[in-house]
Amino acid sequence: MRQDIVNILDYDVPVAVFGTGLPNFVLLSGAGGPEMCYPFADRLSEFGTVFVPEHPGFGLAPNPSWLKLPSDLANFYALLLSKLDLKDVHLIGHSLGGWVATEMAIRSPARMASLTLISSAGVKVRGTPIGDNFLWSPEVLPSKLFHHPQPPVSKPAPTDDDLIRHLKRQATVAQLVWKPRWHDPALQRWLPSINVPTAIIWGRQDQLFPVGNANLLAEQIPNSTLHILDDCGHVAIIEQPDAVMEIIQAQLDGDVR
Amino acid sequence: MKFHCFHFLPYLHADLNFRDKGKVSLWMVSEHDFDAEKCHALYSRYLDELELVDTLGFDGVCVNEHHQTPHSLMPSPNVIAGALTQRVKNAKILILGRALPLVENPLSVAEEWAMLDNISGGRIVCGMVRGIGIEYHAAGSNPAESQGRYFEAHDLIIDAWTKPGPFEFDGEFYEYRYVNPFPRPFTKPHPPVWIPSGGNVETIAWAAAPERKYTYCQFFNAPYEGVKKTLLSYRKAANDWGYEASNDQLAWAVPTYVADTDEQAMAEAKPHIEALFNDFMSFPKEMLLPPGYSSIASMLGAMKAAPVGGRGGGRTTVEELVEKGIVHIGSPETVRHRIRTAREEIGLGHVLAMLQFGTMPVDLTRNNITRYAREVMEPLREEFASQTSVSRVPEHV
Repeated sequence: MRQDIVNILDYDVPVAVFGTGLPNFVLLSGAGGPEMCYPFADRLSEFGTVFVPEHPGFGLAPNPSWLKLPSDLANFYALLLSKLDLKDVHLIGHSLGGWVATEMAIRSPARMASLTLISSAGVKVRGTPIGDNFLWSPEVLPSKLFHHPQPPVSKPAPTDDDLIRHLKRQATVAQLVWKPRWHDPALQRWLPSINVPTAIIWGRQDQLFPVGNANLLAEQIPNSTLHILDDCGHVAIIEQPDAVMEIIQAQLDGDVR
Repeated sequence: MKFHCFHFLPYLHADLNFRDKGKVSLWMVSEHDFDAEKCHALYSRYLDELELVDTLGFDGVCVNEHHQTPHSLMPSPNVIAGALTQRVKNAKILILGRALPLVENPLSVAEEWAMLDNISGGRIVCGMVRGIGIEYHAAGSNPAESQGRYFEAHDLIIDAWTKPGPFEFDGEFYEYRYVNPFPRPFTKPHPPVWIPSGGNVETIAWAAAPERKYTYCQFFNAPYEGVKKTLLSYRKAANDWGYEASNDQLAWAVPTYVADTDEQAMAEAKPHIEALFNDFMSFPKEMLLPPGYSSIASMLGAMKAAPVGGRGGGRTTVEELVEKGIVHIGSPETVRHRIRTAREEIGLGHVLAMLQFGTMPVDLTRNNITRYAREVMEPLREEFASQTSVSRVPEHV
């Protein structure tokens, strides 16, 4: 893995790059930050090059003034694909990153070969509540995100920089998703316009976004396949990486079932 | 020194054993047994208490806003203020405050306050607050936009009151083609604005600015040393702006109970003050500090701060609250001494005594209000009036 810095609109975005060669994958992380994606990105790099940017507003740098909504991130990442001149990109988004990826598929699909949404935010089934992550304490968080949470490992006490980074990332997430909570009705209206092959992957035991959201996406996105994974919570790339790898491989082979 | 009475109007029939039922807080996430007859009776009782306050010659009665909790029967403080205009004949009515970022149309707040100002003949004080963090869960408003919306709503309200209309207001959060409220405020140029807060440094510097000089009101859950530091930081901010703050710009809301002796006061207040701090005002950090609610520096400070009362530590006791100077509970002389000290050390200009708190029943409350008026407020008024000039201006810290 190497860390690149790419300057777009006067903002230095850190991009972790795994592997080499084609095809290109861009993996957009959830609210937990890009580090949660690194082990999976490393595995995925057996197929090609995997780019994992850190969302603007997640690091210690001041938030750019344009950053208000997930659609702003979608516009920003469209510029990133241009700047890196990535073509036929397999775009993968988890949770918040899935929302951004869906926006990109609607707004600027020219550089995209496929879309993979893993427990994606962005849509809501009316009348079906989602989990309230903003009330989950650090103590209960693992049991909410994972079907089989790992026992906690003892870590050194966080430094002030760690805490500041955490608080800042949380504030950015609130800015992006608080209201309407984790979704955008306008995005939902334009799902039928998505014209890249799309895989929708969901943990059956996802406590943040219920499986009904996966069904909604599958119904609304024309060229899509739906994969509900058993024994899996909100973070399939950590709990079921083999299954996710298989689905992406099938997507690459053009043989998605 | 001005003497006011602050009232939360709690629904004191709430089940305080909520923790035994697996609930984390009386706010928002708990189911409650609600008895409308009891609620009706409580409103009558509390309005009677605030009428008594007026009869006894207090300078003001104070109400505020909280949502989805038995802690306070005032999700809309302006409704209570409207009722008070008909009960309270002389005292000011201090609305401390209205949580501006929670409303989608803050122009309605300017309109309601202008109504109240006219109905009361210029007796209202308009407290502008952001609302504590938990209100952002309860109202759904985005905490990351709280500060931006607050300042913009403030500007809108002041403009609506003072600029000739109709005019256009083109903000980041609020946009109006026509701003032209009617009626206009009774008070010229507009009713006094107070800024009740928990000590946010950015807010203090802003409130102290020469074009505002808003009275800053420190809320009731800080130790005296913290209150002093915060209020002196307002004086320092005023100095930095190039002027000397008057005592009238500094206020403190503090739970207060008076009895014959310190021991008797502590014993009588104990169950009620401990219910306030440990039960009514108990919530996990995730509720109290939603992300983005304050600057990163403030949030970092709050994260590291020692928990108070029911917020994760053990139960707070009346002894601890008295020792830290978070509350004024004791004999009349003990309470007078505390207020005298705050006036001398801080230059405090307004003391807002919360004379009903937690589960305190009606007889104790009325007795407390009366004794405070006769044995604390009246003697101190005489004492302070006999002093030719206000105490020395304190050294800034």
